[in-house]
Amino acid sequence: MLVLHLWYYLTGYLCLRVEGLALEKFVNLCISRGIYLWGIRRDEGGLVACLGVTNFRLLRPIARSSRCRVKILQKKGIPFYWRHLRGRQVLIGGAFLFFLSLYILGSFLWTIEVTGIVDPARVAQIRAEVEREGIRPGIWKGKIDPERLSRQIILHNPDLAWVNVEIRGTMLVIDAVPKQLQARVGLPCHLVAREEGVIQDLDLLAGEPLVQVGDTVQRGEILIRGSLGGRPIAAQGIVWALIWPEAYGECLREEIEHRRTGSVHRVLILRIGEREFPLPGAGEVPFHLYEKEAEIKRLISWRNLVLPVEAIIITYYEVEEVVHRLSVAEAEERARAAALAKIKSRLSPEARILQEEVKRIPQGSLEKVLVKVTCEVLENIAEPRGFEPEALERERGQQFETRGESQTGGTEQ
Amino acid sequence: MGRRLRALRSELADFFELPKDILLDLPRITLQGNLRLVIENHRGLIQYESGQIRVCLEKGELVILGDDLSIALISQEEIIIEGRLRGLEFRD
Repeated sequence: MLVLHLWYYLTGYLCLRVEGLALEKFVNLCISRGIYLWGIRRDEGGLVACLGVTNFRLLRPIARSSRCRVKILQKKGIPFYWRHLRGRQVLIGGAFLFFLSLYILGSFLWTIEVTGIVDPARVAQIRAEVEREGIRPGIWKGKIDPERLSRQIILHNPDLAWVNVEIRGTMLVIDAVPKQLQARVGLPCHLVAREEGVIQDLDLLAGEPLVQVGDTVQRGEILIRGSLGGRPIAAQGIVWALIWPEAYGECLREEIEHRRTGSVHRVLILRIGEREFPLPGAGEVPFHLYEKEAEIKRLISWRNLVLPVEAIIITYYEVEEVVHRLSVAEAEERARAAALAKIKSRLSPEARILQEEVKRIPQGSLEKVLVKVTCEVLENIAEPRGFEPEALERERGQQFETRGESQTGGTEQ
Repeated sequence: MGRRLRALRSELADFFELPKDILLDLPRITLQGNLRLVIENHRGLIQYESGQIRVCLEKGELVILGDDLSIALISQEEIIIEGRLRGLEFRD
């Protein structure tokens, strides 16, 4: 029936008032002629009914033979609305103007966004470069050639590995990825210190060593330089050093465990589109403490076609609190283990822990135990770091200068 | 329709488990609570007041009693009556 009503809405329909004595006869004649009537209400001295506008001319002989008077109360449906709207040209003009201005305003560039680069100075630099190309907020979008612009940016910034320029609505998005020099096998690299420490042993395989056994090195300092007679090579070697990593670990003396008691409560919810309909019989969750698990079941999903109907089964598990009380020694042991695990996660598998020192840090309350663990570890601290072959010459000069200075400083002492 | 023919048809319908309303040309009346009444296979209106509607059937008539009765739609095949229904009565 909905289809029929939709049809009459599109073609227009009338609400009539029929007055007379033989109203039933009028209705019967209408149906025998195939005129569809709906929404019939009875009131004082007549009835109100709706019918399609095309059937109205068939009504005249029926009204005459049943001696009824027909009066149009309302005209509804698209054709009548349209006729009504045609009289209000300013409204139509306004709507047209609205969409036109939306289109015009949307065809200009409003903002420029640079993503992927963290350094604000570099971002400003790229923005300035884009502006030099004549691209600034307020210009027409059609003038922008994103591919050309991305090529330009890449050309002028050799430190960028990849640039994508995209127009997203009224926003120009410049997505850039900076180059990262990675130490790869065969490519020239230095070996630098990963941690600060005191060098114990140095096994040189390739490159020029810059440090000796007994030296204290800072993090990031070059240990073995990747050069052979001024030619860039990949430095190789193992540098054993003593390092002193430390970590904190803590443990609460009271541990609360949530244990499921076994009783469950299930609720079924039907989700259609954005709306959720809990199925009857759900009721309140009868537990004081509970854990919730939701399981979503879709009817069918074929390719990326998903029906917007889902059934959600929520299961509530009742839980009870079980309190474990730990002694100070137990809590300290747990805190120590946690701290040690933190340290070990930072070490390589071949590292050897030589000494371990546990210090308990006094807390205000006795409910928490905090320990600081310091280890003495023998670890290979060499870490490859790539460099541009051209940079070697420059760096070489600098390195010699600094070396020279430190040596002179040493002699003065 | 003769009475014997009618009885035969009724028995036929029973035997083959066919719906009787089709073979016997009976109205099919569906009630949805006391709010809505659908009558299929009717023969037109006899009387329409807001408190009472009389519908002509193949045999006899159906009187519907209620308050604020309105005819949601009427066509050759069916009538849908809405309102607060209070009673139904078949009359010969």
